Amino acid sequence: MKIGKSVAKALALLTVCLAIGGVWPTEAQQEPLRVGMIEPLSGPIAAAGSYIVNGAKIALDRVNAKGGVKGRKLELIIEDNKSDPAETRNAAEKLIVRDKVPVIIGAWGSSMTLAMMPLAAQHNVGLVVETSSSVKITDPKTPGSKVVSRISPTSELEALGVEPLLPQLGMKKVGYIAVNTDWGRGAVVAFGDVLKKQGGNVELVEYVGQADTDFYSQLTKFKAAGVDGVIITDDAPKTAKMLQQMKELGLKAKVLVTGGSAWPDSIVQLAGAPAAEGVMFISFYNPYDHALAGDPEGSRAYVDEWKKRGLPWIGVVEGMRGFDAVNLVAQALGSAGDATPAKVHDAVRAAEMKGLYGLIKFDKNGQSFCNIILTQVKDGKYAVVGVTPSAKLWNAAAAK
Amino acid sequence: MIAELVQHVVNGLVIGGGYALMGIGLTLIFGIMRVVNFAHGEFYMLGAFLLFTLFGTLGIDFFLAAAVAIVAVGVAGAVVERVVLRPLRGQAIEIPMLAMVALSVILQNAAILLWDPSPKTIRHPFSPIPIVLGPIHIVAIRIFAGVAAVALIIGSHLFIRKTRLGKAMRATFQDGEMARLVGVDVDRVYTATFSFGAALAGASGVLLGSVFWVYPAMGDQAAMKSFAVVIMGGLGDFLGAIVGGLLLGVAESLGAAYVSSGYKDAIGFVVIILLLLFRPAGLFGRRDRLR
Repeated sequence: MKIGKSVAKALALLTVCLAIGGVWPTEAQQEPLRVGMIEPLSGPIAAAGSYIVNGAKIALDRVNAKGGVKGRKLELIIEDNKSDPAETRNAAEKLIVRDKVPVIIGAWGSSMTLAMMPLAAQHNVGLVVETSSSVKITDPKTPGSKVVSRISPTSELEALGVEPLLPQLGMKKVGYIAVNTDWGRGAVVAFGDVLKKQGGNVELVEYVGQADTDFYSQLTKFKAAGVDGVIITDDAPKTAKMLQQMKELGLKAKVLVTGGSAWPDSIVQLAGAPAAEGVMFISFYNPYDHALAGDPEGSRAYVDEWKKRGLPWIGVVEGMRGFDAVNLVAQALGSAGDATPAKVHDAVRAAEMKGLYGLIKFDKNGQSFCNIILTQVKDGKYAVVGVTPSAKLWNAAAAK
Repeated sequence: MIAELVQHVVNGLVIGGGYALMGIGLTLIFGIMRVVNFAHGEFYMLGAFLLFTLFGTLGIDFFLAAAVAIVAVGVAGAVVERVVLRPLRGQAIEIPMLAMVALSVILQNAAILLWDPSPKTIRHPFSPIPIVLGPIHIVAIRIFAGVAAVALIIGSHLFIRKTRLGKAMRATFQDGEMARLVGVDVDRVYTATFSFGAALAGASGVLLGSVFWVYPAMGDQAAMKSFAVVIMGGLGDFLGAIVGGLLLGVAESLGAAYVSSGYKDAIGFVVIILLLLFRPAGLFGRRDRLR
């Protein structure tokens, strides 16, 4: 009786332990690998965030269709940062502490990404940064930069990539209009420097709020100052409004849009062809030219799937960022010894992957160099002006 | 220089008209019902989305669609008053306030599900080519928005001054108990007030949504501005809301132009702080405000 009782107790204890720890060998294989993702899904830039999640889900379904990662299903825990840096930090805390994810993808805006970096570094959880372009994020002096692996280019890299193409833009007296965040402020510095090297000058800088819709004040100033070029750093919807309002105010100037979120098709749709005509964009992905992407096969599959799912075409260029980020994380999880945050971070940093961005690998600061494509609206259609391939930027960096 | 200044003032007045419409709705609801309507921005958003759906998707005539959208938001306001606010009447002021915060979150997320978060453009029938008056450029849709805002403001004024219901609203504002004693149906006045206030927000959304664009979070900023307008004008002050709205629009436009556009949203609030320092009861500083 006595023995029977203790056996029963031991069995009960074992069951409890197994239930809590979930260490049945067969179950361990079925337990999905969970990865965190933080994007703006509400608030003024919700559209951009939703495109990235769309792209991420396409990659996720492809990974799982091929049997997942080491036989385990890959799962995304997606959090909304409400387009707000403070909410981004809260979302990161939830993912790290409660969900215990080994790696987080996010968080679109530079200010948002910067807000969660110190916390992620404190817990040694790696961040795969898919969109943000502030130089600060991969600057070793910035708190938390050691856990960052960034596949999107910095504003400096963008400026460097278009530098050879800039003289043909012929901008001398430039008005710069940028969103009042780390992204916009960083881009103004980077492009101002490159422009200066070529004899141009940024005469006026105007910052606008993230939720602003009216830019008459700023553009009226540009007009009064007689600028011959306008550079815009903002998301696609606001860029479209700026271009429309330029037209309304009769401000005629050459326009360059940086950041890779606005592209010819989105601006033609949002602003109308007349306002978009002639405008140039810095892009990192061309959905019409699969050969240019690092992974042509993946590019074709991605675009086909985007169309098949009936997703808004104007989001296809933004969605690519989510697609590449998930593929990179899946590859790193596959090569990491186990799914602890430190191992996964090391695996991401050591990864080399052909993605839609170009050749993805990381320098000592965790920065990758992507394709830089200068595009333009010509006769209401998408046109390519010039390309600086990611390989060339890698070589230039190596030579330095 | 002068031309540039005039252009900035004209720009500010058009936007200010929209702010004033929002402000009137908010100030009436607060003045008469003592309800701080945190869902005001969502009625604004609803007006814009209804116009987008009726005109943009279903192809109904623009002006008819605009009118229907405004009336529909008014009906939605009446339903909210009847279903959400009436059961909470007599509670401390923060209870209906919290209910409106909840409503705001629910409506905004419902809009994300219904219409997706990407911004929509209303392809209004006005020409995008600007009308050039000397150095001033202005597009027809902005003139329309400005004129319509003025017409709606005058209409609201006449409604409150001249109609029986308007008089009942003013009576309830002065003294709810007394109004009830002399036979005013206060329940009806409350429903009408909330419905009317919501419709004005919806109208503002219809007008500014046509000028700019339509997206689920558009109410956030509009609501913030209308609170600023109401505080500037004095809580419950009809005329104060009109002047406050126009003042905020012009102050933002001039501030963005001559001070710093990065601080555009802050400028409005600096104006408020100054105003409250010197005129703590609002622009006109009156006690019996619903005039």
